[in-house]
Amino acid sequence: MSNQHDYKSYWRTTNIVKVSIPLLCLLALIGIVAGLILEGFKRTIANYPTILILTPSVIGMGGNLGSVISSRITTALHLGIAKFTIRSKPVKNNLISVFISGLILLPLLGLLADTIALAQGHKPIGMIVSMLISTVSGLMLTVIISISSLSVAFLSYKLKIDPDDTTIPIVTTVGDIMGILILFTVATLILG
Amino acid sequence: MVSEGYDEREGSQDSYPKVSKIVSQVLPVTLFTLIGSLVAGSMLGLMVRSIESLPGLLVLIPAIMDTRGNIYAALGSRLSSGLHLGILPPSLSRDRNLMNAVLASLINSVVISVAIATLAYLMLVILGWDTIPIWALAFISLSAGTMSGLILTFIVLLTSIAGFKYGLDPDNLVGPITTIIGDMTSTISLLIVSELVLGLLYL
Repeated sequence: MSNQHDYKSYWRTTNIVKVSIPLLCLLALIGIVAGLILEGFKRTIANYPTILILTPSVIGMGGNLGSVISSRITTALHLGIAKFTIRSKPVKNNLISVFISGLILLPLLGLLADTIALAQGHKPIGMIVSMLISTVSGLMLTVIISISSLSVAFLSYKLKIDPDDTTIPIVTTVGDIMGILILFTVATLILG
Repeated sequence: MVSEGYDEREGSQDSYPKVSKIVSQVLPVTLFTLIGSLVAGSMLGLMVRSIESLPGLLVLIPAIMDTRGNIYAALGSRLSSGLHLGILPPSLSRDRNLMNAVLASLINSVVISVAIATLAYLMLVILGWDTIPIWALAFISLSAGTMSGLILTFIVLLTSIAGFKYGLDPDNLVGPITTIIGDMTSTISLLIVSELVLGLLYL
């Protein structure tokens, strides 16, 4: 009987809304912080639209590679084959793989972003510069996301919390904020 | 992401997948999801003029993009569970539970759109930064949110029900598809709405 009750409340509109609003508000707040950082870099955006065009891709890339690392490592942890050292094969192989994937995809993104800017009638920043900014900031972001997700995964495991529940939200949040900060800092340093 | 064929015995690190194998699994999926971010980036590129003339607009963008994914990925995973459990019929019908879930995601979308505009306005005022009036922020957030929300609802319903019918696990389909389509629809709606507000404020 209690089962039936749970199932009914799970599909009741008011219940779904009540459960999801607090988390959604928290995520919105983090998004707004990311937006305020962007607003702070508005002059860079106006002068070099390529960087704005590149933003979702670099963040998406960092998030993707970060979640690949964390879900693969948490699986290895569950299977009891990962240790928190660089020489541990799951850690080493996943880190190298994510780096190689980044090195293949990030220059391509830089190239495409500047081409899109050019096609939209903006002043391009130059293909090579764009590829450089994309690659440098994307790899820095991947390093930060990898370190934070690995630490969170191992820490959760030590504290007997399922790492599957903790790493992905942390990876996404860190990725959003750090992604914007790193991309725009690197761009400002390179473009002046 | 568990790859087939690695030895599950404890301590069997030697059989862990090689770098080349991991890369060949990671690349195609990542490349596919990047299509969405590139389209989103292009839309943002077309918004540079609005972003310059409408201070505060930029603050809304990441929050709107993030919550789209969150609300509709949740709807998708709820529908997947319902389909797997046999609670939902595998067809587009006026099922009570289906309507409840869809209605809840639309309410979430409206509530969170207003919350985003209000929070962004408060932060901008506290920081003493330039901003367009709160009604303009709310109009942008609410109409872009609703526009992309309606499209996403349709896509999520279609993907999960069609996926289930044709034997593809909706849990694996809905996540990537809502992320990709969500990024596209939210930036396209933002572009349309911000052009509209630009016209309203500066005509």
